[in-house]
Amino acid sequence: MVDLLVFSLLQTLLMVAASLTVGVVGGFALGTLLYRIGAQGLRPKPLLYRVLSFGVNSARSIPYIILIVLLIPFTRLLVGSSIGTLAAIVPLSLAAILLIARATEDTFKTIPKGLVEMGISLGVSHRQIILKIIFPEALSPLIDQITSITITLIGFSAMAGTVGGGGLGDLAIRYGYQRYEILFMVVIVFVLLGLVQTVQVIGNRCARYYRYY
Amino acid sequence: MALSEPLLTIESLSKSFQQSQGAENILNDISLTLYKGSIVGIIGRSGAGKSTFLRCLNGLEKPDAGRILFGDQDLCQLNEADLRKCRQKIGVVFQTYNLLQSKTVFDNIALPLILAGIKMPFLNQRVEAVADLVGLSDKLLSYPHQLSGGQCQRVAIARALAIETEVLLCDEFTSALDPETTLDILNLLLRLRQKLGLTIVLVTHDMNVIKHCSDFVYVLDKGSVVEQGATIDILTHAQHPVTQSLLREFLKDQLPDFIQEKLHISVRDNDDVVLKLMFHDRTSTKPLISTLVQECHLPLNIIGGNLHHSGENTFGHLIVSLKHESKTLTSITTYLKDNGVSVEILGYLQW
Repeated sequence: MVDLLVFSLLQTLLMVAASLTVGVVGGFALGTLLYRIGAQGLRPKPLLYRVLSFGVNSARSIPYIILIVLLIPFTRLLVGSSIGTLAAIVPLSLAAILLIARATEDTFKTIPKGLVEMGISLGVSHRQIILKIIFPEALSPLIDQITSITITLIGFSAMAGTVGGGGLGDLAIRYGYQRYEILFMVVIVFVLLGLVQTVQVIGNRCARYYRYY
Repeated sequence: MALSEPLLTIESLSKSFQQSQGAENILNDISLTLYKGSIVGIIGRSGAGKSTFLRCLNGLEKPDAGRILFGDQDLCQLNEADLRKCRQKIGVVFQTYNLLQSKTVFDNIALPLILAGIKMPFLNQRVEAVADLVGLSDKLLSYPHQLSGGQCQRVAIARALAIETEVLLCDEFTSALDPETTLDILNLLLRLRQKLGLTIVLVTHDMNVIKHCSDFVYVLDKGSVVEQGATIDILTHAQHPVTQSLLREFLKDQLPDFIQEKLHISVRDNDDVVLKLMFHDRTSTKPLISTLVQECHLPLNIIGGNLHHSGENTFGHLIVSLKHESKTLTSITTYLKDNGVSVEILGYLQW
């Protein structure tokens, strides 16, 4: 039982960590683009913004389990198989990118316009305004957002069993539910609880570190 | 003060915004010249276009027509890269400070230097030098939320000066500060002008700011310059109604209502006459009133008055009442006028 638990925990960790990494990189890039071309942004491009924003919203409104299925052809193209932990990472990464993109854009938008104008009046390029002025100001709330998103991803990863991705959620369904092994269920729930708590605490610490001191 | 070379010349600047009812003119053919080392005040009511004017100067808005000559370059014609270089020489201080809350005072001041690619140890020296200039040397490691409004504004000024700034644009920068702190900051500007030969543009609706530090004033109304002149002239000889109304609140040279109600225009028996004596530059140092009282044996009743100082000039007014006798009235009016004090009869009243 311990072997199974540890193996599943590692699968969950792998799926979440991999998709989070892809999500942070891709989501930050997409979110920054959305912010730049948005109505209040540095280079407004209303049409492109509407198209992208609509895309992000509609992809987010698809229930995750459906997204997994919809993405099967794409997943097969990308990792060669539609089954397994690696395959489960693909839809999870896409969800992470979309969630983090929206969070990045929203957080950037809360930065006072005066700071952007200060940057422009200093004669700074748009790239530097985003990297050196907006990003440091937005970092702390952004970490808070990414913490919640990580927890959401842990939840999503429970559905990885659908494509044979394994993980704690899958274990709980197969052993705890389908085989009536209550002990499995209880232990897994506690492990997940601990995992989520740990993520939350680490997230809060990081956010506080970047807040003011 | 002696006028030096012009640093910034603005020629017939115009700007309009598209509104639902058509284009609205925000700035109308504005021309002005900034001389090196001068402090120029731009005053007007909210909506007069003064902030838009300033935003045109630092490139946040593009004017529709006109030229902004900085040295021999026209800011409106420059490409983006050259414009960025020019903007580095024009520092801006905002009403809302616009400091990065997540960075220390040191990092906030260092921001323009870092963005310009300046490295340690020069970076360090420069930040410490400007922090010293604005009196913040002991606050370098504090965060903006730990500072008072006045200190925040000092950080903003230091940041604006960090790069070799030639012109400092201040947009309503004392509006959020209390009167005492405002005075501190204004004195700081005067010191900076003296030390660095800085040229400063102050946009404000507060006559106190103008009085305290500007050499020259432009009065803006509905996007046009309605009056301009040396500060002391504008303060004492304003011609345009907008300037006069801005001054009224500031000079407080109106009679209180309960006296105003008693005043009548034609004289009756046993009436007192109410006079307003206006002191202009350089006249306020003589003991005119006591001489008057001694020479003419006049019992004077002082109703109100105020003296102001602008640079080295003193000006102000005194409102007095005295027994009405046409002969003494003529003689004191002549005496005062000979000494450069203008006299206005406000009316007559019975106490």
